[in-house]
Amino acid sequence: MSNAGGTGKTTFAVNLAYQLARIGQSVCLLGCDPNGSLTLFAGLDDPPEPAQTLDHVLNTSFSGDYPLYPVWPDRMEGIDAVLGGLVLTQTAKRLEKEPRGAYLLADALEDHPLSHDVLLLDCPGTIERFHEVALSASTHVLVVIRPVDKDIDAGFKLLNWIYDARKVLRLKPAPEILGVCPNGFRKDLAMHRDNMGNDPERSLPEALKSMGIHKFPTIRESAHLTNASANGLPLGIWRTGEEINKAFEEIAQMIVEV
Amino acid sequence: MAKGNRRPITAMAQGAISAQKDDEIERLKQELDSIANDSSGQGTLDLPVDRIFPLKIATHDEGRIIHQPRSYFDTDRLDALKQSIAENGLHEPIFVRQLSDGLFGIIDGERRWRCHRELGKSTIPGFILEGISDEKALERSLTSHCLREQVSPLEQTISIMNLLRLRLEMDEASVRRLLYSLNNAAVGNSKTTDFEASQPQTVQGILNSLGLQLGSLVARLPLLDLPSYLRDAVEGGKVNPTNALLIARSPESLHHHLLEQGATLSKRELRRFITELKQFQEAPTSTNGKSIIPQKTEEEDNQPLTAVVTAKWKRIQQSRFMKTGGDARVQKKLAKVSQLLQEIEDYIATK
Ligand SMILES: Nc1ncnc2c1ncn2[C@@H]1O[C@H](COP(=O)(O)OP(=O)(O)O)[C@@H](O)[C@H]1O
Ligand SMILES: [Mg+2]
Repeated sequence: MSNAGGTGKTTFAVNLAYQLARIGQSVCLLGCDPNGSLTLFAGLDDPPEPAQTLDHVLNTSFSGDYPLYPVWPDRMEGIDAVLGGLVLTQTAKRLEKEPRGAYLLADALEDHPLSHDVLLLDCPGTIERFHEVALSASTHVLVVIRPVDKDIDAGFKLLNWIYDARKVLRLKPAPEILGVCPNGFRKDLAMHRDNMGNDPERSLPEALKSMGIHKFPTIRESAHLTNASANGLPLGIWRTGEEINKAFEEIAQMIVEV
Repeated sequence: MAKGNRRPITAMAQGAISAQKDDEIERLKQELDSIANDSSGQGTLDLPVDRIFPLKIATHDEGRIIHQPRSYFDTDRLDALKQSIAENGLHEPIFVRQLSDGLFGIIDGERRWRCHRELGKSTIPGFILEGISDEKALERSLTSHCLREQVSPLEQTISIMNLLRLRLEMDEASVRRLLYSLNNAAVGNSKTTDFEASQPQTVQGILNSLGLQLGSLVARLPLLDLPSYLRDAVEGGKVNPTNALLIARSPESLHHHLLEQGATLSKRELRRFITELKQFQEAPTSTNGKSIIPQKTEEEDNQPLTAVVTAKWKRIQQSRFMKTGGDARVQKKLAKVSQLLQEIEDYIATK
């Protein structure tokens, strides 16, 4: 999750999925964003019909036939995706009227469990109905933040919202905040350096530490990452030797331990 | 680089921090519930009783000190718990954190630990909580103390106030002022909002989590000002908080008598009793300097009741007030006495 557009959630999700699959975990990516960038980053084509998207799952009459698309099937096994896309704007409206709107995904997963080891839910940029849908279906939440003031401020508002929403939605057990991942760090930018430094007033890592929230390895800005995504591939396939892959590997390892 | 007007990240985090703390209470509640409902004892260890110590933290927060939550232990209640533990064992494990050298500090469960020690038990079932700072330990200790049902309203109020002090980083007097002004604002008595924007939320969050109304907390605040003998009486369960507050508001000269004679009356009865005593006190007969409250003499203690009643009756007859026939109130009470005597007579007749 995040509370700002373009922080790198979808990038994070596909690269994490790739690293998880590499260490033998089966993964299902669920695209909860109307922007559908998961489809693009996974190298897939936009699904032709709503019935082939997450919209289909979010129905009280859903019977367990998940519209699963294998991801990078010619490269590896174990990654599937349920895709989002424009239809989700309609879905969100429909959910407003459903009595269990916020819990439809949780219900679906409870009644018809997916067989994958890890489910990754890729949320939209700002807090909306899909955040409730995703939160109630999650065991853990990972927040991606760019190290700029605007995103950090919004990021803490998201954390605030999560703590409140867990109560309001009466989630038991409540999903845990797994940690925050700073993404797109540039050491040539003073604001990035400040916010990732150790001035107690100005430091994201320090603020997280004081709240006991885990900070994942910082991911640098890299044109390779942008290019990989644009080409529908994880960085690990696009440029295997790239340093950033290590960070994703480390995060994948951590998630397996959880 | 100059800081300019950039908002510090610490300020950005404020709302999330406060929501996180409310959430912690919620989780603690769930945890206490699940432990209470879990008889399997999973995760519980048998800890050595003699390696455990009560929580001894004072947070020095600009000179303000908050002590461990429980500073008072009612011996009767402690005995009852001891007996229950001796007979049925311990239902809820205690919470400790690891100190140095295999020692443990109690976070929750000092009473239970004391009982085990006094019963001569060598171990006690407990949970070890990892990585808990002094501050967190105190907060957790206060929170679980607030959540317990067996604590008295006074103890609970003390813990809630300490928790609020910790959260709001304020001294007790300021927390009180804040509570009063929030309460006034809530009941529409004032439009003043002489509190910081985040404070109402913090207070409300804590109260919600503890399932307490602002109004009831405010009503309990005067408990904190009770003179020590009344406070002890409340803590010892000899008088309920409502009656203690009524007694505290009555003239001080009446306190001890009220505590002895009126502690177990209902609120209405006690009110009436106080009014009567006050009227007696103000009555002209009291100008002779003698206490108007009937005093038991030493001998009366050891005498049979019939003698005590006779002695009392004699004193009443001889009083100056009664020489003139007393007043309507006295007449009414005499009617009651007459009624009671009649009942005794009737009863004796059946024997
Ligand atoms: N660390 C990074 N370095 C360079 N580009 C990045 C990085 N993370 C994300 N991007 C790029 O930023 C854009 C937004 O990322 P995306 O993952 O779609 O964000 P979100 O899903 O949070 O909206 C994409 O073009 C992506 O390739
Ligand atoms: Mg996205």
